[in-house]
Amino acid sequence: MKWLIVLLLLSSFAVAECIEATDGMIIKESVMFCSSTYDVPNGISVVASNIVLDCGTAVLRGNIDESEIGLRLENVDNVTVKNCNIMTFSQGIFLKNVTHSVIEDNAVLKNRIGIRLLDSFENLIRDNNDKSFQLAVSAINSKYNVVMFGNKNVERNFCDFNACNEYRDMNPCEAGDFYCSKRCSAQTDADCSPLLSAVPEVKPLVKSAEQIVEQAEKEVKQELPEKLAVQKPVEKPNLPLFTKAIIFILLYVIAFIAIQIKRHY
Amino acid sequence: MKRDVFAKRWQLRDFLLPLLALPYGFLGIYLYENGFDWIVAVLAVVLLIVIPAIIAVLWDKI
Repeated sequence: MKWLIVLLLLSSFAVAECIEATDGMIIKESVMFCSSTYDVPNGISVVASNIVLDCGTAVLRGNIDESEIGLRLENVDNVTVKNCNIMTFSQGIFLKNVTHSVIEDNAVLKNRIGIRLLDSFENLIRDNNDKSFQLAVSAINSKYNVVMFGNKNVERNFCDFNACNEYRDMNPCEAGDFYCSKRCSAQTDADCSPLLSAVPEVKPLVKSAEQIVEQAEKEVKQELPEKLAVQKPVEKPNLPLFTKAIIFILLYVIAFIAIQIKRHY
Repeated sequence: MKRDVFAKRWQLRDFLLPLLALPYGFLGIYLYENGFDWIVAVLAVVLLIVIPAIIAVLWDKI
């Protein structure tokens, strides 16, 4: 009986095995973070497909005004990110060239932009809570994603090409978006044609990712009022008490002398 | 003797009148620490310039 109890205890440890997040960590396999607060000013990167990142309610914290990206997913497919609390980054979660991934049950707080998608398609972003300074979500050159927040509705231009606030049936087999979905074939989507993908002359016609990002940044700055645009903590130039006392004494002495001069002359 | 001369030269009001300059010092330090703000500037002008000027002009009548 006691061996059974020991076995049960050990197995529970095995199930709940978690790791500590470290700054600049690169994730290549499914992991679960221990529930704690981690200062990761350089963020964490996910570089492998078909994995699950469960933050286990851990808090990933950056340096406000300094840290760029909290959680970066790049060139991956079918990745699940859940139970993360990401705060004080310029961009909380950044997806670049990501497809068929799920971002759910996360909280993105005090970031400039909560979730940013770039060249990402057919992802599911749901049940996340956002409290960002500028935008909850930004999608550049991204289509067929489902974007739903738990605490707010999203109404932006990209909702024309993505499903915002509700599930919507979208046909990813549209020609001309340089994306070939798994669901499409060369017959249903011209972008799946090997001929088109082999033509290098087409690419210069499309703006580079950096240009698109720059353009989007300009749009954001124009759209938002200045007060919301950058909420940097303003440092008050507080004078020391001694300096204030000196100022008042000098002022008093000057006024005294001025009055005396006026009286006598 | 000395006390009489001092009393003639320095009266209580000689030491009280310069205190009127202190609110302007407060205003200057406040604006320096919190930055310029129109509402503060307008209030300061009214409180520290207009009202004292009116009081000074109408001092004998009120």
